[in-house]
Amino acid sequence: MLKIATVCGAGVGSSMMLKVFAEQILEHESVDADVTASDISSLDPAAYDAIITASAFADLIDSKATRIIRMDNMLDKTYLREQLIHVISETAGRNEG
Amino acid sequence: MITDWLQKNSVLAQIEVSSSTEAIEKSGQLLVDSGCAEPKYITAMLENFYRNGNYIVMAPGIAVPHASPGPAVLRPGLSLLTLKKPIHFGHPKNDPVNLVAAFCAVDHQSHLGMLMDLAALLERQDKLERMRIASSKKEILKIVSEDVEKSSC
Repeated sequence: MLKIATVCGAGVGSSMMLKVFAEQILEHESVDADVTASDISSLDPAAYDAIITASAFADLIDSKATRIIRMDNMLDKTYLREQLIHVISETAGRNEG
Repeated sequence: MITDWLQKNSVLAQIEVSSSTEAIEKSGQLLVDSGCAEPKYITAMLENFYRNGNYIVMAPGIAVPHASPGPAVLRPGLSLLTLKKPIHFGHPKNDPVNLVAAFCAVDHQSHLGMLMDLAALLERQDKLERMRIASSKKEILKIVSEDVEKSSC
């Protein structure tokens, strides 16, 4: 199962919004995934396959293994869908290989 | 529905401010005026902005100031104001801001419906453009309440 975190400062605003958007997209793509909303201070990047967040936080996350999706415009669901589909295909490739 | 959250005491049109701090304060004052938060919540919103930076500018021209749930929040609430003169919040791509939508939450879950109603409103480019040039709160409320049942998130 794909593990994804959505991250913001307070853990109640953009991370919640991004969580709902990501779940809608993943459900539409029939991908089994667990999406968790987190605030930046309690995030463990290594626990996730991908992290969705604003650029301001993306720069603070120190992780080479985890893919980071930077959302400058958090309402841009088309961009989020493209990026998530990329993550899905990468993860599938890794699991098969 | 978004109209459950945005009412005449939580909306203002064409406000003049000289800084991002003042814009956040005005949007927070609406949450206080509508009985959703205590004045301390405005301080918490500013602290979140100073500590975590410009991420509250979540889309081009749109700032969504907020803070973590806490004792200063009385009930979930939302406010919306438009700025007469766009203001820079320090975001590399989404500046300048001319629409500020503040919210407060009592926990991490119960305001989710409100947040998604807000997202559905802000995704409507046609409504955004009209709200930005609306000259009165009455006009903004009219735009907000149009075909709400058709909006989806």
